[in-house]
Amino acid sequence: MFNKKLSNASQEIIDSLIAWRVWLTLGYVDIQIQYRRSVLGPFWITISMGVMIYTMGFLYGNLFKMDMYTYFPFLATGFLTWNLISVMIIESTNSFVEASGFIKQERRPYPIYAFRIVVRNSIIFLHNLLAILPILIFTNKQFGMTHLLLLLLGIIIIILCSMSFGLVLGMLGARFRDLHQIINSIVTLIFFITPIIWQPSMLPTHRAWLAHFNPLTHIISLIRDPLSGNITKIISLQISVSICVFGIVLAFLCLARMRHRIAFWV
Amino acid sequence: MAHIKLTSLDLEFPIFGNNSRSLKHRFLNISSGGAIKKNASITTIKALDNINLEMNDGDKVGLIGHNGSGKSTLLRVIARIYEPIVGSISIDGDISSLIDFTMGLTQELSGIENIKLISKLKGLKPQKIKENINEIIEFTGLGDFIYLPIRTYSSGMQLRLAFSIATQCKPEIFLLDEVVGVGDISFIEQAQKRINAIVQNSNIIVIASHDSKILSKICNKVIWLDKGKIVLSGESDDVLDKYRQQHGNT
Repeated sequence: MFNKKLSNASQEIIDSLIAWRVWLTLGYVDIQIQYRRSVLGPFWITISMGVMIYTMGFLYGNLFKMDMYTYFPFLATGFLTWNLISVMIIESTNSFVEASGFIKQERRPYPIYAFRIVVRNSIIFLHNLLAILPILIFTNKQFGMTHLLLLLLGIIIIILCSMSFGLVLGMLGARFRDLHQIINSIVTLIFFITPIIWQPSMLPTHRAWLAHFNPLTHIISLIRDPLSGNITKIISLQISVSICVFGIVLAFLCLARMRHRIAFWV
Repeated sequence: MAHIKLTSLDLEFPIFGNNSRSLKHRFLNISSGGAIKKNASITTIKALDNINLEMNDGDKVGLIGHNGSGKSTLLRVIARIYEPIVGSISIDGDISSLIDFTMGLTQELSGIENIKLISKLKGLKPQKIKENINEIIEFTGLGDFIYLPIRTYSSGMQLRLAFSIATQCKPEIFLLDEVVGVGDISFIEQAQKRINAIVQNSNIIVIASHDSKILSKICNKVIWLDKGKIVLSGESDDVLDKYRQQHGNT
């Protein structure tokens, strides 16, 4: 019985990967609609993020008495990546509820609605990248081929993670409607315990584990390190890839268990 | 060749009370020892009860019954949106469904953008979409409205659009719910022609409605549903006559 469910689930995943046009379009249309509502579209988010990064950079740089040349890019790249990940986590809990009109109209593979969230946020990520570009140009002179390849690798890992965990969160969020609020508050909390505005080196040595055992530290550094001109640490790559593999397996199992219930939940 | 067969099919629908949709409540229940069985707030409703039916090429099947008799649910089962746990279901043929016509449309987008988006969702290649688009626009009869956002449309206009998109590639199985009544007379005639064309390709159409007049115009077979059970099925005139006898002249 469970074997059949697993093969159904993998068929579902294959079908949605074949339908790449569909989720690319859905994500793209979401952005298109944002542009239609206001001339600047998603750039509103970019602007507010930019203002936040520049003021926080000056404020915390002075508070922590940091060297601006290292602190500014650290904060900007971390914030950029955090914004990508956190918004995807929060929006994923709503992915199927948001698509209930499509779901109840015609049978399509479910994962496309989870992947749409990833596409939409990746486009916004590119918008936001523009906001911190001046900082990177000023401070990061050693950006080279290795950094570019590492950056791309990091982005691919993060996208695969988001697709799989997003699928799981989407299904749970359809079943438990308060998951969205719960995740929302948890994400705010995680922002403070993850090294985004503070650097791991600021922690006293006997507290350093706080940063090292936090998986998000490593996932964020996938983008942060190459963008700020450093080489990604092997340990960060190892941990992120493990999380990614775990996420894909988890998504398979959850899809096998819950796929046939989604239409009833949304 | 299109073919639909459902055998002793049951469908239970979970009705969630407020607490049963809450993860927080789940955890509170665990911490309180679980002695109080709050989860009983998940009620299930038997939406379909022991359904047996078979449809073949050329069938124009009408589903008739009250609100809540299981018509839309049955359509969604045939569309493979709701998967039943009990009973078997076998379907051959491409399905196109128009179950709640406003649901699949994106209100912010213009008519023409909705055509493109939904065609893509149906899995059509960009080349094919380009080929079809003029014919769809013409069939909607919306004129320049096609360039305006859907939210400015009347419900009849939205129906025209949704119907034209859903029937564009002459699906082998076409499922239609309740909607025909929203259109004006000229549209109903147009839709009827299109429906006849689909059936001439020796395919299956299933239409749900509580309006026996529309069904008697379009269908050659009717299934009468009540509380999720099939009351009667057979030639459309016979079933509709009996239905009218019981329900007055509606």
